[in-house]
Amino acid sequence: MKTVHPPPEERQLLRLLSGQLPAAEVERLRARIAAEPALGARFERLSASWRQLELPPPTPAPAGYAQRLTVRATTEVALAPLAVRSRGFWLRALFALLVGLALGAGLGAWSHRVDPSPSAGESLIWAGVAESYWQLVGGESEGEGR
Amino acid sequence: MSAVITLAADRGLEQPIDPDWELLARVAQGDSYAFTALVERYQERLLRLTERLLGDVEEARDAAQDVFLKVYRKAGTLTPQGRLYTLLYRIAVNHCSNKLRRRRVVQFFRFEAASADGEPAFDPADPAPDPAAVLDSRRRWLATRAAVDRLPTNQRLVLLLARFEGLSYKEIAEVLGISLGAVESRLVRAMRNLEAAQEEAPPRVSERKVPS
Repeated sequence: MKTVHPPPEERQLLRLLSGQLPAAEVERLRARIAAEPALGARFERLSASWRQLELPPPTPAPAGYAQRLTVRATTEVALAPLAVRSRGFWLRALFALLVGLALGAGLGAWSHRVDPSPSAGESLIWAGVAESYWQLVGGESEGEGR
Repeated sequence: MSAVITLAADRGLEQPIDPDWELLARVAQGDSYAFTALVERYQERLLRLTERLLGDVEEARDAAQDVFLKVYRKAGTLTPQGRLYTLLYRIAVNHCSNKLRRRRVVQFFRFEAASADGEPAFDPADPAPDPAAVLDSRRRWLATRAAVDRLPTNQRLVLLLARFEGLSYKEIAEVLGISLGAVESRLVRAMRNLEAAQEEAPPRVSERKVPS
């Protein structure tokens, strides 16, 4: 993208408005503004815009701001080692949980591949689930009293 | 020899001129009174800057607090060079720029329009008895706030630092980490955008003609 630099006169006018020029240059520029109508008109518009920029006075700091901030800073620094330890602990716990879940899932998948038929225990469990289902759906005499 | 001069000499730097680096050196050594003194010395300037940048008093106080806490934590690692307030401004500007960026993202995902005419938080009692003058002041504040908020962030920062904080171009360049030429270009573009916005603004209350 081509960079477009602002014209030097406009930069000088803004330097004058924002108080960036040394005294000698201020005098020279003011003389040019008085002598050149186009430059003078541009300066008038720019200074009007500059003067129109106003913001409300800033809100003062609340009483005791510095003292409260000092207490907070010193407390945070004092508690920082605890925070690091507790963060590390929870991270380790989460990691251990994930490893356990992964191992359990892996073992389950492996044992199913070795012996895809359900174990006796599993058969009993599923038989019990099926029995409960049929009782709920159609067997009122057997399911009542629960 | 003072702690700051020792620190500077250890790092092969010229002795710093700003005596506030002495305060920071004491903060680095754990002197909480020095930290309180540092905050008291710069709190008004930082609060003013963050309020101008963020446009909200509570956010500004939080931001200024974050800046001071960051300085407290890193006091021992900061290099004493130039004026301390330039460093504080740099940290504050970066912090507020990040906040403004996050605010724009949140607004985008909430489909909110950027608030361009929020009421100024501070409403001082105007000693002038003329209600038109009071209304004019408020109108100018709101118009300025709205126009400045519509500027791109890089132009807004330069304008606020030059117009309202009174920093020199060299100081602005140091705070923002840009060249002097970039400072001038951004300021010129900011003023052109503002002039265009001001041309669309309604006339002053005091200039309105009362129908007969």
